[in-house]
Order: sequence, then C-alpha cells, then structure tokens
Amino acid sequence: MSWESFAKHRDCITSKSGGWTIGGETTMHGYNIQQQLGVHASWMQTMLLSVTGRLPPISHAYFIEKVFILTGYPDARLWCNRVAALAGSAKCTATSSYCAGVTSAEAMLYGRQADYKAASLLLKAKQICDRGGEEALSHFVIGQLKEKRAVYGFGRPLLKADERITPLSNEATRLGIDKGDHLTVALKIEQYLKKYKMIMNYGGYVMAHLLDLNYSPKEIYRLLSLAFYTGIVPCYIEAFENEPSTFLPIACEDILYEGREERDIPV
Amino acid sequence: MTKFFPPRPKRESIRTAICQEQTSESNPFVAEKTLWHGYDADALSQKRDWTEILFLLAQGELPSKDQNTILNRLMTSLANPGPRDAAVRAAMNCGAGKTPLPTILTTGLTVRGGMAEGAMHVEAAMRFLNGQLPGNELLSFDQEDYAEQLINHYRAFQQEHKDDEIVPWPEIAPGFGLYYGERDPRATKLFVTLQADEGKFIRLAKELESILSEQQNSAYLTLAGAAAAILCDLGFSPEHGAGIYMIAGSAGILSHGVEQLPRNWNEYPFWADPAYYQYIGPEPIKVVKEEI
Repeated sequence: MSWESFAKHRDCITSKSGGWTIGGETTMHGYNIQQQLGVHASWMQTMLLSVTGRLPPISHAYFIEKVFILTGYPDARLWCNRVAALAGSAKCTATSSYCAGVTSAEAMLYGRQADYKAASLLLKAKQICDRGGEEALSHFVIGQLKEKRAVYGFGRPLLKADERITPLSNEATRLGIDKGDHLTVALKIEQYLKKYKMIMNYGGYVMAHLLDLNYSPKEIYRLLSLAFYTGIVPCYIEAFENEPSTFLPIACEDILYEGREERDIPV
Repeated sequence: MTKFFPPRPKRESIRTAICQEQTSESNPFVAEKTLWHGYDADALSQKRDWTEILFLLAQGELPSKDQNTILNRLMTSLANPGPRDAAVRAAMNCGAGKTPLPTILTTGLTVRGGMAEGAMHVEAAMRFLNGQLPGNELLSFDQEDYAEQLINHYRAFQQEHKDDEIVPWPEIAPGFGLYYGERDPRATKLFVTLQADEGKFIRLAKELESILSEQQNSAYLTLAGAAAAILCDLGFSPEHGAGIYMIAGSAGILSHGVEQLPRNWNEYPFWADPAYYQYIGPEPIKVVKEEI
C-alpha cells in the first residue's frame, strides 16, 4: 500500500457494522437498536449479533447463556478469579479488575486460547473423519497426543469428570439442539482417549456444540470472552470489601527461593 | 532466616529464582533484606541504574557497560511513540474521557501489545531471528544460505499455521514490511543512534532485509524488527524483548495520556461531522422475527 492508500482513510471511519446518527438512532448489522434489538432481542442475542453479524435464534442465546452460567465459578483459587481478587485486595477499580480477570483468562491452559485450539481441532477432526473415516480420525487424535502431549478439549486436571456437562447437555436437549456431527466426532475422540484416562472436558463439549450451531473457531473465541465473568465479579467484590492485602497474603518464608546465593555487586 | 509457620507443601508454594526476601525478626510479612539474583536490592538501587536492573531481572546477570549503553539508548529511542501512535492515542482517549489514571497507562500498554508494530510483533520477530519456529531445527546459523532458508521456512510455516493462533502470524516475516507504504526510516535511524557494533542478529536482520527488498513486493526492516534484532543481540528472550518494547514506550503513553486529563471534552476530536463516518453495511431495516 502506498501512502495515498492511508490518506483515503484520513478523517474517515468506514463501518459495515453500524453506527450512531448523533442525537438520533443507532444500528447494528442492519438492526435498529432502539426499535428492534432494544425491544425484541435479549442481551445474549445482541452480543452474538455483535460478534458474528448474524442475529441467532433464541435457542442459541439460551444455550450460550447456560454455557456462561455453568462455568462462572466464584472461587478465587481459579486463576482468572484470583487475578480479580488480587486487584480487589489492592483496591483497584471494578472495571479494570474485571478486565484484568477476563484478559487473564485468555489462557492457553484453560481459557480462550484453549477454546480456540479445541474448536480448531474438532473442526479439523470432523473433516478428517468425513474424508478418511474412523481409522483416519483415530490416527489423527493419537498423532496429536504424541506430538503435543495434549488434545485440546480433552482431559481435565485434578478431576476425572466434568460436572458442567450434564446440566448443559440437559439444556441442549430441552432446546432441541443436542445432536450434531461435531459432537459425534468429539464423542468418538473421547472413546479413543479413554485408555489414556482422558475425558472430554467442558471446553471440548461446548466447542463441539458451537461448531454444530455453525459458529467458526474465530467466532467462538470472540463470543466466549466473558464466559468466566460471573465468577470473576464476586471474587473482586469480596476482596475489595475486605481489608487491603488480606486476600491470600504470602509470608516471606512461603516463597521457595531457588536462585543465586547472596553475592557482591561487581565494581 | 526466622521461621514463623510450619513448612507448607512444596506444590503449594510459589517458586522463584529472581527474588529472595529475608524475613524480619518480628513480622513474617515484612522483609528485612531483599536480594535480586543474589544482589542486595538496596545496594543495587544506589550503585546501578534502571536499565541495568531491567537486564538483571530478565537475564539473571548484570549487563556489561556496552550492553547497558545499548539497552539505555534503545529504550530512550523508543520512549515516545508519539501522539499518532495507536497505543498513545488509546491513552489520550482515556485521558480526554477522565478515565482513572492507572487505566490510562494500562489501556495504552494493551494497545502497544498488538501484532502490528507492537509487542507481539517484536516477540514474533525475535522468534523468527532466533530460528525458533517449527521447521528451523535443522538449520545452522553458520550455513551460507541461512537467511534465505529462514525466509522460506517462515513462508511455509505461515501458510501451514496461519489459523493456529488467536492473532495470526503476519504474512511477511515479522520484523519486516513497509511503514505507511515505504521503507521504515526509523529502523535505520535506530541502528545509527545506538552506535553499536553489529551483533550477529543485526547482521542477520540486514541480510534478511537485503533478500526481502529484492523480491517482488519488497519488504524492509521495520522499527519493531530493528528493535527485535538489537534485543536478540543483547541476549533477551522473545518474551522479555516484547515486554521491554512495551515498557520503553510507556513513558510517552503515560505523558500523552495524562496531558489530556485536565482538558475539556471538546478539546479532543470526536469526528462529529457525519461526513467523517461512512456506513457501508446492510440497510438497517432488519426485523427481529422471534420474540424473547
């Protein structure tokens, strides 16, 4: 691009999403916010619209709402919640603390990066299964395990079951969205991984469902940003209301120092 | 060291090789003496400057005089990305809106973290220069066509893995590209300002640049790429290098953000005139068909 290409954007915002007629009405992806979304749509539907540009059926919104509820654990031991609690204990502002908690959950081990990788893996797994059948699928999964020593969406530290899956599965049944090709593939993968004592975790189960509902991995990553939000907020508030620095204070002797012995500063 | 509590399980303890705090006699939460990588922190603050401590905390050893001079000059050169920079503008937006002060800085730093010209780009460029991407394992720094092979491997890697991460790897090898459509003059100036002897990574970066500049869709070293090469030569890991790039720019982010704080809202542009805003999406006549 030449500098002239940048000059075209100078003093010019171009948007396909929508905008505000100052003092007047606003639109999002073709819907009037005041007259349509604000009257007939739920917050969750509108959030999904903002991510995908498509207004989802109410069943999707209910399902994803349950996804959020079932994984919002207000337990400050969980890493993203602990970030918010530390911020609360340090008397940070609420929004910056929630933001810190939400951002910290963009984690490869358990959060949004893990979601993205699980969704991408299941998408690829289904394509492989469609083309090469179950043998190819099995080969792919075991290959992943050997190469990366992990299969995103499967395995759960500390536990051998995921208590969130049954209530979400019940909700999916109630909404009539309990079956799909990606979920079928995910269940097959779970069978292959049984001998490694790895179960399908909540992430894997949710990703399979969302792929079946036609959300892409990128959309899933973007729409699940606030998934842990309802767990983060109480952890912040409780720590904020307590005396400063009383959230898990650490004594000097609690730190396991494994570095250099004391030495002189070179001249 | 005085002990106040019974021992705790090792797996429930935080481990670090960076900082040792020796407990005071009277309070388990108060440190009487602090060591950083074995050096007395109080003595360090009297005898050494900020960039030396930054180097020490990242690498475990104090820098040589030359290394410290280069790091100091690098951070000085990067201190103010300027009021047109996205990170600085984010901070200025916060200042104009009277956002709490810490958020002014952290918001700016968040934006400075991006893959386009930001910390993620520096990290990616350092990985690229270090030959840390998959497929590079069989390459040797000493082989004649190392630079060319790195470029070829990167292209293959980018094609194969472009959708693997939540922010994709750039199409052109990280550290290289164009700056508003032309060669980035800041990269060359940075090398001149530093007056550093060319380390192996600066030499590699220049060799990569000479190859990329002669190819179709020429690309040159960018500021982020030049900074990445210098940080590699200083021995920083890609993760530390990315962080140092952010810290360096924080001075300008903070100052420009705070400068806007006392001003009236209408002293900062909103682009209120409808002529500035072009909506090119679907006609806003869609109707919500399903009732909640």
